[in-house]
Amino acid sequence: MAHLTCDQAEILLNLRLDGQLDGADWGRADLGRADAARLDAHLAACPACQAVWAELEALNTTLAALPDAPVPPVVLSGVLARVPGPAPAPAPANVRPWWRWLLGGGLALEAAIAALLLWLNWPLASSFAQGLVPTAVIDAAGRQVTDGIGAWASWLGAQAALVQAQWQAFSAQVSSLAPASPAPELVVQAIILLAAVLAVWVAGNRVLATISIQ
Amino acid sequence: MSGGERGLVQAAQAGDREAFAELVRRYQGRIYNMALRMTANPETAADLAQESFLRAYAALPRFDAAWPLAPWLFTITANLCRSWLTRRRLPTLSLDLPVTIDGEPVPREVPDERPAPDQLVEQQDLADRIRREIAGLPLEYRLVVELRHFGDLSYDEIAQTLDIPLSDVKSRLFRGRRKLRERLGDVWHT
Repeated sequence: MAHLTCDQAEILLNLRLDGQLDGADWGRADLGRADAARLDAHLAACPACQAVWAELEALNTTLAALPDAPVPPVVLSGVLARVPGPAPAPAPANVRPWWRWLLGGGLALEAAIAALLLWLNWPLASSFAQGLVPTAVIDAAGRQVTDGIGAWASWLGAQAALVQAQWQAFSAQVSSLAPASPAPELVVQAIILLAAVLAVWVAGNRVLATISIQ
Repeated sequence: MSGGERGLVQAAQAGDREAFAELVRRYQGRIYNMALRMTANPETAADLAQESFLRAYAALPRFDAAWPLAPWLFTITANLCRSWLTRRRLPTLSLDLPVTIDGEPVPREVPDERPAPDQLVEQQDLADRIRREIAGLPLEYRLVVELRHFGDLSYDEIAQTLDIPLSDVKSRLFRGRRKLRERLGDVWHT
């Protein structure tokens, strides 16, 4: 059996440290066994290589016992920030579906206010309501005097005349107001009617805005 | 690979972000510390660890969940570290080349800039010193030592990871350990 040099022995000691010498599958089992035997013979007679083996074992133990440094939180957060997330959630909780506004208190309250204002202003509103549904006019003999279009034209004319008359009456009332006199009924009715229209307008805008958010 | 880990990998491959987050939590310590030992710079190590996981995530659909995840992650990290160190490394004079004056070889005299042992004791603990000594190894030795001792990869796996012959794995490991023994000898002999 040829003797090993110290350099050769050190190579085999490294293999032994990694479990690549004793009992390792080299394809030629006799080779591993022969090298192991030569190494053992060399070690028995070489204090320097015994020291090398001791250092290799110590190095192995030292590296295995090396504690991990704490991981900065930025590693995980940085990775997750750049990894695509799950599919976006449906609608945020603070945006309600538009139809809920119809059932919800907001629109119902505004409709109630509008209805109350119209009821308070019924004398004036009824004058508009009388001509809301223009139809063909049938005379006493059963003949059609005007068709539907003609009825609409007549209604629009009547409404224009009514607004003009009311405006004139309102102007006359305002011009004759004395500073200490109470507000005339027509002014009160106009204010109430304006408030009713405003309430309906606000409710309608809210519905439109809610739908557009969806 | 354990059943639990395989399930996590498969879930992550199916797009489960939380499963991937759990894999990152499990391996971030080993991956970050590997990068730290390779670069000796905590900020760079954090950047390289993040990049390693992001590359793993991108390549995850092509990963076979039947294989162990750790060697694959170490491979990604080792190659990233090698690439980063190669790009950033300043030109250095090889200490292995002989010095000649007028054609005659002379002994190389290299000042030892490492702190004296008593200074080391004052400045940092043993773990820091070991990390620094590892980081001070030549890159090719460092990679092999890292993958063998901390990645627990076999010779064959190291050869495959670094795309080098098996004989180079053995010789680099031999030389890397010898340098570490020389530098850390005082630790065991005091």
